[in-house]
Amino acid sequence: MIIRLLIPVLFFFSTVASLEAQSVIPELLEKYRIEGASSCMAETGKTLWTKEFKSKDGSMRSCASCHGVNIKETGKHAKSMKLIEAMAQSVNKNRYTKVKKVEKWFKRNCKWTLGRICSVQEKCDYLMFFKES
Amino acid sequence: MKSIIIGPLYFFIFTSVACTNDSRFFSSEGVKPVDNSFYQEECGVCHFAYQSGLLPERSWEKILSGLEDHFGDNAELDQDDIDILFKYLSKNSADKSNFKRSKKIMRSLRGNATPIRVTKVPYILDKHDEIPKKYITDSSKVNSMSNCDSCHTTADKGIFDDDFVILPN
Repeated sequence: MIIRLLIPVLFFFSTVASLEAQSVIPELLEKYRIEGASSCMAETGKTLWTKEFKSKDGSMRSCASCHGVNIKETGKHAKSMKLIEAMAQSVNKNRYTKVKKVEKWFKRNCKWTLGRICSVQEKCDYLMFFKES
Repeated sequence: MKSIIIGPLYFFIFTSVACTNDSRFFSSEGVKPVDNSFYQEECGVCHFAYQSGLLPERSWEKILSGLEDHFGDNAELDQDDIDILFKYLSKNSADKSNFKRSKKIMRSLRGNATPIRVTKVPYILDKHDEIPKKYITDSSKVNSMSNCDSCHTTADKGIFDDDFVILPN
């Protein structure tokens, strides 16, 4: 009797648990590979993370300028001083759950930091860095 | 007997109407708090989510048309997202609002003035003109007048009264 009641309850909870937001990194990595990225590596992403680029106003910028060198830690926006949650997927499961959101931030932040949109290779390397840190 | 009931009854009706937040009848304090989760998320992740009642519609339109260079940052969005944001902002902008501070903001703008910085609205400048720099720009905890919630502890509720201001230094 109890088992008959328990089975649908367990089924329900397992369904609810699987509705928790899933990481879209594997989907994006595959998309970038199809578009021409190859041998995507966290180490390459990490090197790019701290590389400095000269902006139009003469200032030097890198991803680390706001996000910090250690992506397991919270970063901070230089002007508004708003805290930026850690980029490492290992400490922040809230990130990388929506493709549109990831692409939005890549577009904005690559243009602002590198002065251009990132290539699929660069995005692929960055995602490996976020995923494996 | 009648007067014992009618007097207090009228008093009760009057005070309950007077205390209502329904701004069709009475102006509400402050500015209308943000009540749109999409706006909160898109426009509150890098900085304080400025309430729509802090600027007129024409200012919001100007800001949204230049997101690629948003005060030195790139805040680009897809056009359909911009349209959603503009619909929300224009519906509740200062020129449409019955909230007290929104009305004061509008009264302080001359002609068709279109400020794109909340901090440059004459009414708001006037309210802050006696604060020494050490409490704002020279303070690492505040940094800029644009970080309203650094000092205004109830800014997220649209309340900017002095009573709820704490200067970090």
